[in-house]
Amino acid sequence: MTLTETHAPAESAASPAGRERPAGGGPAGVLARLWALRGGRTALVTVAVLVLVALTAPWLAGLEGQDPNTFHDTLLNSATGGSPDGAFGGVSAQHWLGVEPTTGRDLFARLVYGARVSLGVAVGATIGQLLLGLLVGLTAGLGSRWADALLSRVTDLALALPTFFFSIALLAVVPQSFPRPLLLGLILSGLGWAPIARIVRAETRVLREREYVQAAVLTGAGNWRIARREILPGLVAPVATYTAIVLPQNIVAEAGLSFLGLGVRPPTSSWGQMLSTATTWFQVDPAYVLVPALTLLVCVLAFAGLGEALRVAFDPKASVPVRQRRARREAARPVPSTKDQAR
Amino acid sequence: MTRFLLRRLFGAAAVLVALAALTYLLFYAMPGDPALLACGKGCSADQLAQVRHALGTDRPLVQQFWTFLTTLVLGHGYSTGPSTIWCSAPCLGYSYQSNEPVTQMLLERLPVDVSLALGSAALWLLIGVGTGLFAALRPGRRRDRITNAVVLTLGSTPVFIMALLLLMGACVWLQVLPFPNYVPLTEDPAQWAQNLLLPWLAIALVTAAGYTRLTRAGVLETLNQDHIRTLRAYGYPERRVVLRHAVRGALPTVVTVAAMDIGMVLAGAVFTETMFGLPGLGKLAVEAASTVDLPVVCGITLLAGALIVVANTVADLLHAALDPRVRI
Repeated sequence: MTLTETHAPAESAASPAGRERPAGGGPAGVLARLWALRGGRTALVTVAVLVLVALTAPWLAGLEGQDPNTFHDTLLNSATGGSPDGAFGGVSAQHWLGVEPTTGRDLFARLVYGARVSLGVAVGATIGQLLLGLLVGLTAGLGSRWADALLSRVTDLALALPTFFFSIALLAVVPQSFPRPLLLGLILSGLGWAPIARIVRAETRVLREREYVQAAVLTGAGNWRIARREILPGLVAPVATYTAIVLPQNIVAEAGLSFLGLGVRPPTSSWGQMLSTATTWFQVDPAYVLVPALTLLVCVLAFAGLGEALRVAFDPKASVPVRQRRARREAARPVPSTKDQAR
Repeated sequence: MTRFLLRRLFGAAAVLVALAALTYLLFYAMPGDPALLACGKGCSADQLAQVRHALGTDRPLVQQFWTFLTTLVLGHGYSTGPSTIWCSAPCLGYSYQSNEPVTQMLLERLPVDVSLALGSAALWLLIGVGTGLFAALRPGRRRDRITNAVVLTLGSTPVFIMALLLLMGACVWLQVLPFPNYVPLTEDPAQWAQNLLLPWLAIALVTAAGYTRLTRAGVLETLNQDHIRTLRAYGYPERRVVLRHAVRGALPTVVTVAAMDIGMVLAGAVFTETMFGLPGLGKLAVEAASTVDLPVVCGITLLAGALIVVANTVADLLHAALDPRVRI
């Protein structure tokens, strides 16, 4: 994958800047290059809006004048088994996206509060995976031969595990009293760190042979200092790109497990949990199903687009909007080796 | 080749043993008493001790794990009062819920997953390789970019949303298909295919994306090579150069990845099965997990792990057979 071709962002500043490409390294440079890609801009804005929704959930629900847990029995039609009265699942000025069947809880409020859980679990799990992966990968890459051999075997084993079945099983074994969002975050990070560790180890071993790192070794710097000052900056591009691939996978994983009824449970809402209760209603009240399904879809697609754009933006050899050359270079690129989604 | 083969097989066996150990530790050595789960509600202290003894959880952990392994390989006799039940070779114990032998439960479900895997694999290969070639014929042009965008979108869609949209679209709005209801192949092949069409599509559309990219990349890479230049110089039509000769460059990776993906679906397509109500391993896993039926959960995890390890090994060997450069 291109990750191995990409090095320190500092290099992108050193390479001759294309005409169309905003020059400069560092976070600002990458952001500028991201913005220059049409797809990157759309994805970035969508993701920003979703994050903003999650952060301002109580305020948004307050604006609508509803909260996610109040029952509204009067809005339901008891003749149909509790489906909401009115068109599109009971959309009205008070309930912007209608109400939930059988309980009458406000869907908009549940959706915006659900964003907190969905995104929160995914971000938490991703941070956990990153920390574990960096720790294992750096130790294997910089440590002794024995440490490397041991950790590499452990990583191989972790990659070979049927992670999805393990997470189902773990969710079943841990008692219900344990807070579910936290548990989901722990399980996802505990089972998903291996690909990152592998990338970090490979990159570290390449960087370790570089002259500037050798120079640091000669000055007598310790392993920790070398990892922090010399290696980590070089890992930013590959790790950031991979994070953008992993984050939507974590969103899907949380949604999937909650959809199966094993993750977040009511009254707490997440998009997967909403979808889980909604699937039995898709004939009577399709709006109820489509609201969480489409939100989830838009969110995942935005993150996927962001990951794709980030990969291009971090690539020092890409002259950003020039299509022909990018296509030719992409042709030579094998697919990113991400772990498959569970089907 | 023999050395490569042996090393791969040895590696796979090591992973399987480690997998068994991990699975065992995870479920039986967890806080929370398996005996209490097996015994059910309203269990007296006396009964509990009995169950504990029958399950062997009153013995040291290492000994328990050893019994677990020998049971798996050799079978095990369970004494239930006066009579002894013999649970034969790949014995995974008995379900806490239905008291059926777990091995038999798993074997009953496997045909569903085999049907699901083979049908969807045929579809995703057809779609993936087709669109990959379509994009590779004119790299960088509009059709290439559009294919790329469509493929990225489909490939990023979670399978349960894909399944849900297909179900709502085909069965509720257009009403072109009845709701899927699994019919075994041996009973009625036409009904079998009709009922599995939507599940196959759901899996295939989500999976095909990877194959589009693989095919496109492999074909374009081969097109840069000397033998292709020679063919072109001889005046072969471009279509024939691509479809006959450049495709071969993509073949090894496509076959390898397909073997791994088939293994994943065989191990249980949890979401597809849950959404379409197919009685496969994935659905069993979810049911067992929500009732904390430990032997079943444990058995499925082991079987899924074994299937995935076997599939990965087969993929490696296939890759080595098709592409001699891989053998070291």
